[in-house]
Amino acid sequence: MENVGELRKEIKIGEPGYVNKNCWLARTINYPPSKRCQYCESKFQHCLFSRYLLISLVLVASLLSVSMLVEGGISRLLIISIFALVIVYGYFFDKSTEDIVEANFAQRKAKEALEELTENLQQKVDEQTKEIRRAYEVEKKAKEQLETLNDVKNQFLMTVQHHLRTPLTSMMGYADLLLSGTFGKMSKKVSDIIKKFQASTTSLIKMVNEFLDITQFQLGKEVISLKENVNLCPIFKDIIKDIELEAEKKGIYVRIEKPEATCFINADEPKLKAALMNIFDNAVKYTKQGGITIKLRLDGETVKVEIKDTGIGIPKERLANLFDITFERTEEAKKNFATGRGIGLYLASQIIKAHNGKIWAESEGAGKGSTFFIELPVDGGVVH
Amino acid sequence: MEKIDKKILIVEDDADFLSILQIKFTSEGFSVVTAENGEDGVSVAEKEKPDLILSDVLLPQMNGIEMAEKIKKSGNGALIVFLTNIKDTEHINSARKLGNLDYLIKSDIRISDIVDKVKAKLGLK
Repeated sequence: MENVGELRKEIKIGEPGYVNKNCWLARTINYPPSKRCQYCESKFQHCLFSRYLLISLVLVASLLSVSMLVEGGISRLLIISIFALVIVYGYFFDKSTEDIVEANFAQRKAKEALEELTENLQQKVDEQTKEIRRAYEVEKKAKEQLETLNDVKNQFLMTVQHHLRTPLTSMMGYADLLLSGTFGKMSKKVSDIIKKFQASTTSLIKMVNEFLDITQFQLGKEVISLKENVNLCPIFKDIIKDIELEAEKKGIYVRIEKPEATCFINADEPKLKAALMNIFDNAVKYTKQGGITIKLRLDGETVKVEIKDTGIGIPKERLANLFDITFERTEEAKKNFATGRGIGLYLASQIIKAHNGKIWAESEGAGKGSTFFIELPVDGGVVH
Repeated sequence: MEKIDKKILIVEDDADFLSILQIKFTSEGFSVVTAENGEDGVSVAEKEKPDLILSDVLLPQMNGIEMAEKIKKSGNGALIVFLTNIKDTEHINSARKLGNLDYLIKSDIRISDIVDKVKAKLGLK
């Protein structure tokens, strides 16, 4: 038979215990419901109350049996006192146990409530996450669609541009044949006209080629093919010769500071020349008075080019997007200087970047001239 | 105009450009044969045994690269120069695999320059 002390030790925090509400003994004596164990569904032997009662009854029975064997009122009194003591002790034990279990029970209920709250919260978080993920997938799909559309647009542009070149090539070919006298001699007047026709066609071809390059850059395709050891000197000589001619016509000066040493870099010669030409051209084009100063130098492993002009300048707020494809010429430029599609700087900058170079501009503002800086690495990068 | 003892095969699907090249090369003294697609190009090359083949890359029925491969395989020793409007480096690189091939970009070059290139390739002038 277990003693009461052992029973007390058996109650662990959170464990069921105390009064089994189904305990037949508790029900029999109509033990107050509030004191019954709420979650002890275990069997009869777990029920402490029943145990206590059982022990008490057994004790009483034993004592009574013993007392029957003992004569005398004092013995009987003694026995009844022991019985009373047991009951009182049991009651207090009962009480303190009840407090422990009720405290455990309250704690357990709180824990359950917290778990439920956590579960609810978790559920809400899961739902929100699902929502966010769904929205993200929608956005991602939209972005992919846009990218596909952009690619389709660019591919379409490329196809169009290729097809434009075919008849243009034939036009140039026929003009060539005419001018070379294959179809007989022509009067000077006719041949001059054919030459003008050819010039227009050439500029149209150049335009189509430029648009094609831009589309290829946009598609991320390789536009330049670098060759090793391209001599920059003759390239600059040609460009400078051209702009000196133009500058003379406009009555503006061209000052050049360049090193004696020649410089070989890895470059796509025609493309690089076109890009540099564009920048130099602009300098002359947008300068009405004063002139241009060109500085070339080799600084370690970098070729540095500086083109300073006393022209219309660039407003500070335009400097940031100067080389963007969407860059529009300033009102000043459009009003006073006729030609210019506004794509030259974008293409020039893309070509220079493709050579692993840098290009940027500085200007004090409108009407205060501008300086363009170009840097090209001597070892241009990957060569095909 | 002296006659040059060399035969050129021009393979080009654009009738205008083909006619231009034919007129030019004939006026320069070459003897010229033509084809308008890759398959015809192969058969004409076989029949006429030209010294040089001037061919477009994008051709109907069989593209210029394939045609060049077939012609080379048949043991025809003709020199091949590609004329193209495309700037696709992939096509050009696959052309390079066929060995020592030249390519010219139609829209960037003048007819007289094409003639000069062909003459240089044939070791003339």
